Amino acid sequence: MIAVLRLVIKEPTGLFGLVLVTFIVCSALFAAVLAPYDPVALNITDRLQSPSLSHLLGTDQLGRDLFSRVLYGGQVALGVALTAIGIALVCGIVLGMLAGFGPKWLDKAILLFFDTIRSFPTVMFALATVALVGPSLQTVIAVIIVTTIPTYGRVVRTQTLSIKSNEFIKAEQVMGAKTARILIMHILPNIFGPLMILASMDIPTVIALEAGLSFLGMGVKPPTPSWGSILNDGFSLIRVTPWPIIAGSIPLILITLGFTYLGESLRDFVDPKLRKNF
Amino acid sequence: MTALLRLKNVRVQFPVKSTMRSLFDRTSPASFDAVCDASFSLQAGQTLALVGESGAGKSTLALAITGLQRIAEGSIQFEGQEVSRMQTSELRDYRRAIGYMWQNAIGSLSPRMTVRSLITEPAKIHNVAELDQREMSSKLLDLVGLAEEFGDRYPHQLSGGQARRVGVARALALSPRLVVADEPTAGLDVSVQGEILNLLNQLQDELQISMLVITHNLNVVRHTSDKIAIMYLGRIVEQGDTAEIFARPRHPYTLALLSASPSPDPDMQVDRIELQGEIPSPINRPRGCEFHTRCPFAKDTCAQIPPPFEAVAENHALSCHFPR
Amino acid sequence: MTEPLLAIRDLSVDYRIERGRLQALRHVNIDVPKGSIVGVVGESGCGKSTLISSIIRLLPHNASISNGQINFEGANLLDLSENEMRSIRGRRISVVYQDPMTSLNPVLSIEQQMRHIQYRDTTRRSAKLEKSLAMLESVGIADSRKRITQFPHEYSGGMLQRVSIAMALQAKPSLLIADEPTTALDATLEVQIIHLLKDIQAQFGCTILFISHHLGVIAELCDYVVVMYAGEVVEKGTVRDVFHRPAHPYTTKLLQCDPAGIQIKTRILPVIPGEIPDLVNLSGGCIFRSRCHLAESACETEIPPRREVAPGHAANCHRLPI
Repeated sequence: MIAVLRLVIKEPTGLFGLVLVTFIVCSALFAAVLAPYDPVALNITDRLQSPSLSHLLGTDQLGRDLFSRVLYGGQVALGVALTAIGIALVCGIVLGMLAGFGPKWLDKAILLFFDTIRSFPTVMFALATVALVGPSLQTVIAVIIVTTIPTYGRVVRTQTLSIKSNEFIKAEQVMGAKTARILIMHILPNIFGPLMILASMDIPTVIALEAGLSFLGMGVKPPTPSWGSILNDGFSLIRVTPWPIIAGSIPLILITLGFTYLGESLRDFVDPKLRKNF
Repeated sequence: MTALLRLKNVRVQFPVKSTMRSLFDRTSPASFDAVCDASFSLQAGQTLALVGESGAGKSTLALAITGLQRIAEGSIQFEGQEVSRMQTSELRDYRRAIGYMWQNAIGSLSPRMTVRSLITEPAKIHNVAELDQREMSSKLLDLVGLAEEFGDRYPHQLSGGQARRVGVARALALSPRLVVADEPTAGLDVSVQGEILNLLNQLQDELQISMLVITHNLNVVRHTSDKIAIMYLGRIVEQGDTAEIFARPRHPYTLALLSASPSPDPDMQVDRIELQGEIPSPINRPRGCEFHTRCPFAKDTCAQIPPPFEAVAENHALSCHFPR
Repeated sequence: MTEPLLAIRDLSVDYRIERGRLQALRHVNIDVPKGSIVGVVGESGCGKSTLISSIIRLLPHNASISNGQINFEGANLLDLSENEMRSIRGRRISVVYQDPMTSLNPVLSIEQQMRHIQYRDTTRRSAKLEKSLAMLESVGIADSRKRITQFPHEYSGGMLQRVSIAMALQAKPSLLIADEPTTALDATLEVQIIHLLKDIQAQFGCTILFISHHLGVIAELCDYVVVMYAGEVVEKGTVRDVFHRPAHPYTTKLLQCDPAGIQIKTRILPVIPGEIPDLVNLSGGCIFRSRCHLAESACETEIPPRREVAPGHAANCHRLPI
């Protein structure tokens, strides 16, 4: 793990990504300490202010402090992304390894399931679900989990298939190892690296999806702060003031950049040609 | 005395992989024989070598012996017990009794495990807790002549010869009764080949293990094995005591293999038997004697009638109409 | 004596790696006389592949030639421009690689691949095809008109190695480098390829630099042999001299180790104990001393000079008489 960090830091983009991600994660974690105001407290007298020392990013149409809302919005965004991707990853690993290592009929069944889900466009699927169940944080998370499982599942399946054909797996079988042991001790460690990279590069996509749904009013319910709903408010106020839009988009841009750079430098690490130098 | 391992008329079939064939050509067979009518027995404490070129079915046969490859016909008995009829738990016990050395020494070691955990892996699989793992790995490293510090290395940090030694250590971890060594010297330099063969010889003398050695190089088994079975196209064509085979090889294919390995003497005039053509596909086996397409001594009979596998001496049998 | 076709003089090649400078080749001298077959024999890590890559100047980018000349047909290949070098590769010098399954393009038919390498010729397509067919016939591929339309996976290993030899010879090169061309093949096919190379040499009169770790193959095929160890030439001479009267302890031991040479059954086979030294931090002295049973004090400090033991037979060892 330390070796990974050292390599990531070696590259300027990797270091930049790591710093950005740490910065955003910390600011979301310590939102309660850092935020100068309650993110949902109304203060109509101070509405639609431009940035100043008392309101770093200004206020919105209800006088809520945008800086505090952005910090708390980070909690929502990261919370949604990490839970959703975490659960999707676990499901994807289980299904993918079963498909790759199990009997052929199971492989076909799981692939059919993956393809069925992937044949829906993600946003349409999300909109349809929200229309059926109603908007909420849980709905967003559920939609993201269902739509990203096939991505991870397919990667895991292909990796499992290619690792399965290696002699060290046959060696385990001839030694009498149980399938569960082979999967957990020998296949999982070898596919985990690429998966983590994929996941870290998916985090900004998921955050953008959550923001997009909230922007459309189909994600997080007001008054919970979310970057998407800040953007949504700003959109209707764009002729009055640009600050809500700016406040909502800055963290989105930063987090996308951060995770993308971090993911890319991690991917370089997994590249065996680069890893050889260790 | 019952044999440790007894094979009788073993046949292994593989499906012919081609959608085109199944769609358009229903006359050609759906499967082919990778191993055909293989019979031999291995006594406890002995070494038997399976020799043949690529496609001869040696490795397939070895996997069939471990139970990993299903057999279509015949029987494989280990200490009198039929391998194909073993239940899951019996199969696990059986696999505990065999140590397998893989052809690809580095590739058969799980890449993210240290040597120490690799060689104690069999013990972990079979929940053998009688020995302290560290003590066990040190003992094994010492047994195969590797320094203690190798225990903390990863497979990619090993040379070919060292990886072989780790493979030997892992195969011997649970004191097996049978060791299968698939091409134990493949990919090794000449100067290191001897080290591995010496190690195998020494371990066998000390531990009295039975061994099945698979190789394409007759020179490798001359010094290690008691018996030799020569395979061609999935069939054993000649079988006998090593000394007998080297002294009086009778099958033309054995002769060709023996003379194919040039000796490092530029003045040596070899009376070489050079084979024409290539090994035929096991999907379309030649009629009659399957070797007749490449045999320099083939006569008309050979293309018509398959030769029987017959004993020519007490410990020597072969299938050829016109043995040398 | 006439000028050799290929004369490698004092060639040293380094690789820059993280730990420092890996001296893969050090002061290598090899002569390849015109019309001869010269074998280079050595075990893994001896620098065979670096040698080939240096001759055709396709070294990886972290390698640098620190010293020496490679004289070929009157020019030093190391002085040529990239363009000039390209016109030599494939036309004056061609290479047959170890594994024909990976050295040929799997998605093109043999016909296409053989046509593509004739791109410099201005002849018509049909003439190129005829030429390809003639080449295939000469390497012993029967029914060439049908076989040429097939793809690499439809050939067996031995046949495919014949095809790659045909392709290497198509431009009538004056030097053919064969990089372990029989290693990936079965023993009975190996013999066939050796005979093919011998026939070709007689038929086309080309010069062959044959790289192998297999002593028996070198003995059978080559006129001269160069023994390499850990990036140095330790012995060279005619095959007869070197194999009958090896002068360097490494050659002697290597010949003893060859299982094909041991006819009497023994439980303990000869080996060369120890491992190849680390080429990153070389300390001077004889490169073989750590594994040599004859090493003495001079071997620790001084690099042994080349000594002639007979006309045309030389070895680098302190123990040889001056």
